[in-house]
Amino acid sequence: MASQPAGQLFDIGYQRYDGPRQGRNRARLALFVGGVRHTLGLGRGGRSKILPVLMVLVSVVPAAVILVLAAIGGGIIDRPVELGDYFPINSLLLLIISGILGPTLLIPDRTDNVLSLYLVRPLGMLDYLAARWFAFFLVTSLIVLAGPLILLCGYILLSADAAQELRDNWLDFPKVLLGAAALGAFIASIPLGVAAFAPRRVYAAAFVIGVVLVGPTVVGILTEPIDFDGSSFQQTVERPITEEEIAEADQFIDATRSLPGDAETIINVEFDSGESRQYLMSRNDVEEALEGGNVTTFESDEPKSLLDPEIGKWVIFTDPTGATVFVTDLLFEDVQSNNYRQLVARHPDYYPVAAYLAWVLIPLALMWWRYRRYTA
Amino acid sequence: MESAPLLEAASLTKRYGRVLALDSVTFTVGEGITGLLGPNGAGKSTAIKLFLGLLQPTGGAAQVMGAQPYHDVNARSLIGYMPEHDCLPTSVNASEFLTHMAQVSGLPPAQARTRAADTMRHVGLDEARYRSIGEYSTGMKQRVKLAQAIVHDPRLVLLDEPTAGLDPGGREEMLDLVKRTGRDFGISIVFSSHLMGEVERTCDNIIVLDGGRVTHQESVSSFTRSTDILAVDIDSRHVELVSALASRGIEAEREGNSILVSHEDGQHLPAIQDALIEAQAPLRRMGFRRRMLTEIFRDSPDGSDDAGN
Repeated sequence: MASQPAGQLFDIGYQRYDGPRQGRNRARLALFVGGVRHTLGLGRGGRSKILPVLMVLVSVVPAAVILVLAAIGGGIIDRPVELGDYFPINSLLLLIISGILGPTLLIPDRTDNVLSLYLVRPLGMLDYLAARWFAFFLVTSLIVLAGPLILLCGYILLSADAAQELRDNWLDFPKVLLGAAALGAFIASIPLGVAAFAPRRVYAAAFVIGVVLVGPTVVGILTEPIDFDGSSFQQTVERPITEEEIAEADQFIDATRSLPGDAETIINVEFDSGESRQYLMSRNDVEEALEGGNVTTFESDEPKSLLDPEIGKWVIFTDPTGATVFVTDLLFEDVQSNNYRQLVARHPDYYPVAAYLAWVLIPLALMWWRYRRYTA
Repeated sequence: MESAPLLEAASLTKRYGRVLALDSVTFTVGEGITGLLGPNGAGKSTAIKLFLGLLQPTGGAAQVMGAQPYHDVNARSLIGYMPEHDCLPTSVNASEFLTHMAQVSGLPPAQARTRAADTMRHVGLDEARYRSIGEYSTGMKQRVKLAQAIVHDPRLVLLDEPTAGLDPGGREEMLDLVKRTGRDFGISIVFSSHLMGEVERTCDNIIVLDGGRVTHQESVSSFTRSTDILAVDIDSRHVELVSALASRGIEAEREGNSILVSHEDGQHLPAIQDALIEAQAPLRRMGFRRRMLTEIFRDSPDGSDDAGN
């Protein structure tokens, strides 16, 4: 070319390529990067960017709101929401969005037959699937990470002595990172596993949303203690009232006699099982109980779930949205107690970890099984 | 540099359940444009997919430059493939798509971008490069399909029915592009078609598949070489010419407006001249018959596949 006269336009014709050919590793990398770009809607129309932006907002906005409230509160409550409690706040919504976003990584490649172009390149089906999954996992993990990371940084900056707070809580950073990776892997795997089978994106999204909405509802109804008013779920106990209780009740009646209406007091009751429980009793109830000759009926208003907790502790693992909570709970100690956590606490620690891994790996195995026999 | 042929089928067999798609075929493909010709269902697509490593041979071997692409994916770095069916994403533009495909073929990003731009220029997609592929016409999509097959500058590109679904104008453009890719770009081409006319005009070599077997393999020029038949085209007085020839001891046969004479070493030429004068037949042209590829299928009922070409 150097021999051609300068300053002249000419058709240089077709030129052979004699640069580097990096084979399979370049192909894998290109699919991975292409997957990340596709997920974020880069290089595509504006509409493709709606879902990723929405997902980032869902991850970040609760953290921002909490921080604003904490700032306004002027440090009255140290950490209004613990880091470990942040993950469950939006994991459901994140899974729904990823259920709509994730299938776009697999389904158009199949329906538009682009897959048949990939498979004649220097790569195999496993390269393709792995690249797609890792790409989606990277995006979901980073998006999930944004919220708790902002929250953690905010808490540190809002504290009276930020440097000291950082020194005391630096371990929260790797924990937040691990938690985000756990939740990210989870919300990446299910949509891709579903997308492997769905003929169209809508079906995949509908299925994921269905699982997200129906799963927790059904599991919740089965395992959540329900307080049916006056239903058969109450247990009763009859026994003499103790001297202390009479004294306490007398004191209570004297103290409340001048008050209008029906005042209430807390009575401690020990059941035969050895379980002790506190009951709220009105003055009338106590008076009646005393008149009844030292014998009274205590109605347990202990709410019971449809399923026995011993069964419920297994059923709880079938709730897809709970799966990551179990894992993030292992990372963060300070979490609020709730029914989920009480049921899971009946298991050794590695049970919830195994349940989580099943939720991540089974969709991947199904995806591989589905694509294994694909021929272009 | 390579001693192995570009493609080599050695007793290549592919069976789908009870259907034998390829029955122990053996052939090689070298440089240039090779037509893979055969009626629908002859095993053309199967053969192409075996060479791409998309299918595993039931028996024998499909080798690409000495390697077996089904087992060795890196062997696919130097081949390109243009499928018959639609295979393009709709929501990206051609520039983005081709850059991506070049990288998936193993090219580093910067080189991939350059190659994508060059390739678009060569296939004539320059103006449309930043529009979504979904908005392209059929002809343009077909160009993108070809472009993605050659964007990484393969040594060999396999085109499966590249003119399928195109109107006559688009078909001519596509064939031109295929010819240019083979001649000017120096990329060898295997190009499957069930239309003989296309293959005849475009290809250097031809492999004919029928019923899962190779029935012919030779160069198009050797196949369509001149025959020993001299065709004398006249406008009228055919009967008179035939009898005038017969009186000179020359056997002749009428086919339409042509009188066909078996001709060896030009010995009959003066006699034919005399016969023409005697019969007062108005001569239009006279020349040696060329064999047509159509004759390959003359014996088989599938020969009628040569629709309109």
